[in-house]
Amino acid sequence: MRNPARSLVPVSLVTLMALLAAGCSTPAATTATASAAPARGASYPDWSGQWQRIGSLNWPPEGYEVAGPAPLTPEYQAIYEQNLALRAQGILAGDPPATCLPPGMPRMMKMSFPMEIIITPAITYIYADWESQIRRVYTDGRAWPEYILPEFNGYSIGTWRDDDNDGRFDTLAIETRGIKGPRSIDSSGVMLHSNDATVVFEEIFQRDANTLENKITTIDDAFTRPWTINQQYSHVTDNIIWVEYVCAEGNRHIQLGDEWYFLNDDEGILEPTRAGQPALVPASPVPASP
Amino acid sequence: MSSIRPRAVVPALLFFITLSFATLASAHHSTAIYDSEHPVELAGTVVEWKFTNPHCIIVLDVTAADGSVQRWNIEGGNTSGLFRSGWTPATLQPGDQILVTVRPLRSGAFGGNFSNPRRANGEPVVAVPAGR
Repeated sequence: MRNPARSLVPVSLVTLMALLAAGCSTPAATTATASAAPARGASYPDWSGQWQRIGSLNWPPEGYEVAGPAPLTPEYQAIYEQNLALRAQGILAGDPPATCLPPGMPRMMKMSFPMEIIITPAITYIYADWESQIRRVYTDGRAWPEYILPEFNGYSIGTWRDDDNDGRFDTLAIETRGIKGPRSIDSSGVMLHSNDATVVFEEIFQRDANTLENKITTIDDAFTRPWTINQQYSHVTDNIIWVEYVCAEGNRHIQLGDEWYFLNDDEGILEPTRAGQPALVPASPVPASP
Repeated sequence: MSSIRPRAVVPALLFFITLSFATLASAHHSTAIYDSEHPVELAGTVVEWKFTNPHCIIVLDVTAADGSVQRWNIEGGNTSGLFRSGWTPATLQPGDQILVTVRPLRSGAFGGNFSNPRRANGEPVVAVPAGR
């Protein structure tokens, strides 16, 4: 059971120290920044169309030159290694979306599937085809709410910047808090901390005509320091295809306690995934004929 | 049709093809739970083709060497990637004879993750992208 009071102050002491060490804004300072009204007269970039992930489904190797692999604490390094050992047995550990949970932040921004960005003055919507997830990034100058209801994608406040002073916004800076778990950074088996005190900073800008870049800094108590990854997305403008994604429709991976099963709905059986594990055959609800 | 199980010798090429498909198919979850070191070649008859997320599913009847029929449930890519590659819900029909490479469940149950789907003549199931 989650303690609702925890989310009143979603940034832990460790996280706060990491924020300061990283030179990031403190929550209070960020609130002040986010409260600044958008510059009048500045226009917004055209990020319409479709954006597709550049690189593999997991964060390494791209971004390695910036950050290296996730800097895990000894506790979470041990959890990671345990997850790998369990997978080698056939147990799908350390990958919550396998049960159709959404990836959450920051994994969502890996964009396993294409992304659409819809910019309005008050809110920028970031739509991910994977799990049909949407983020609302509030750019209306609001302060952080007194209570943030934890959600997988968190609560995001953004600020548009005109870094080159040409009268046109070019960078969307975002801070996201109140992120619900369980979450992994990707499908590698690296988990984020179960205290769900993650804070994610992003800077999204257009690298060139066909490339959008997101500098993502994740601060989490599973890490020894803030972890920054640069994720790029390529622009699709012609023959854009969007495909509905309903995970519950055909998911085969069932977790019951510590056991995992592979659904064989054709025969009504939960097949074992590891050696020595018995199949689970539910009793039929239909009474046997006399 | 019979199943072929090259468990003793796995050609390196087949192994890398399997791994590359794994990258395409693993958006939903890690595929480390499957036995990538012991892929099996299955030849069988399509019972059902499910064009669904998070993975498509082929229900495939495979006649084993002893004459018994094994009913395999094998998952592949997602509808987004498949549709962009030319697959649709009508690509496979019950009764189609196909060949697939399968990384099986480590439990030995007749399930796994498929790659390199081919028609009985060895041609790729889908040759020309239809979604473009």
